[in-house]
This record gives sequence, C-alpha cells and structure tokens, in this order.
Amino acid sequence: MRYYETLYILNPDFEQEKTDSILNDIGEHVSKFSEVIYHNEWGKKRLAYPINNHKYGTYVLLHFETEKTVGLDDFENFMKLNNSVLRFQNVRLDSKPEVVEEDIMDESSDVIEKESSENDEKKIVEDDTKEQVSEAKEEIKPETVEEETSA
Amino acid sequence: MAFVSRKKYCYFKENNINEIDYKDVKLLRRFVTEQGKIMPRRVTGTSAKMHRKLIRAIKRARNIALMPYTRLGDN
Repeated sequence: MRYYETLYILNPDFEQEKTDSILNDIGEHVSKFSEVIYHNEWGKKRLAYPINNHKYGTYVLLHFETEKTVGLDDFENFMKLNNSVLRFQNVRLDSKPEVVEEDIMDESSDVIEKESSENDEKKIVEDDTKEQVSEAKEEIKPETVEEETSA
Repeated sequence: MAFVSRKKYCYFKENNINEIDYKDVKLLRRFVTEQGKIMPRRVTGTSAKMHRKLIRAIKRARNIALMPYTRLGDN
C-alpha cells in the first residue's frame, strides 16, 4: 500500500461555503481512485511569499492511500487546472501517516516558539561567526607567507 | 595561533530524529539563515545523511510557501 500526502493552498478570498464545496470536490475526486485517510483544513495562513498576488492562503492537508498509481497523474492534472488551488504539493510517505500535527502550524504556538528558537539561532549564529573568523585567519596565513618569500 | 576546537554535533542524532517533516517549519527554521539560505553542514554540524533529508524538507517547505526562498529587507 502506498501512502500519499497532499498539501494545497486555496484562494483565501472564498467564503467558508465555497471552500467547503471545493474541499468536497477534491475529496470526491481523490476517493475515485484511492481511500482518503484524512482531509482537513489548516486554516488561513500567511504565505512565506506572495502567490498570484495573494498574501494569505487557506492550507488544506490531505492524506490518502492507494494500491495502484493509476489515478495520480489524473489527480495532479485536476489540481493544476483547478483555478481555486493556488498551489499544491503531492508527497509520497514512507509509512502510514499518524495523527496529524496540527499544532505545528498554529499561529499562537508559532509566536511562542519564535522567542525560544531565536535563542537557538543566536547560538548557531555565534558559532557561525567564530567559524568565519577562524576561516578568515586560515585564508590570510598563506598569503602572508607568499609575501614574505617574494620580498 | 592556536584555535580551540569546539565540539560539533548533529542536532538530529542528538535528539534521535530520523525523519524530517517539511511541515515542521519551527524545526527547519533553525537551519536556514536570516535570508532564508540553507546553512552549510560545516556550520550546523549536521550529519551528511540528515543534511540530505533536511535539504529535501526545506525545499519542499519552500515550494508550498511555508518557508521563503529568499528574504531581503521588507518581505
């Protein structure tokens, strides 16, 4: 059995009803050739970069399993041609997906984590600068030697 | 000039992480610079095996707009 995960971004301007109907459409299409394990909305999130001039997007996560790979190309085509889908990504999973970690994308936890991760980043950055300094010194070394010999 | 060598270690090996999920932006964010570039292995100390997986995860996250390809100034 093969497991797949699709994460897609819907147009954020749609009302809840329209979003739901699109979710239904996609769910129906997927269930034609496979079995849907999980299909749920993550909610509206700020995109890391604008897509089609949209700053925000509605993320939806979909897990499904299938024995054959027959419908996959068709499904990707369907997503590509679907105008309300800003972007999608289909990934094959090694094992059966477990409980979905929705809190990963939770905005509130995101903010808290930022503070704690900033400290870690600082550490890494400090290491980074040390590294660069030692490298710079190493680079300088041979140059000075050359100058001495030429002089 | 004497340099004090400091111990580098693989974050994933220390924490017993074998698979990296591209949706886990919190984790991935530690391994990119402020501009959004992937940090080199010699800086982070990540093992080669996990670095390959890390790269794949970061690139997937970028594709689906969870992480920026680049971040310059006001973005």
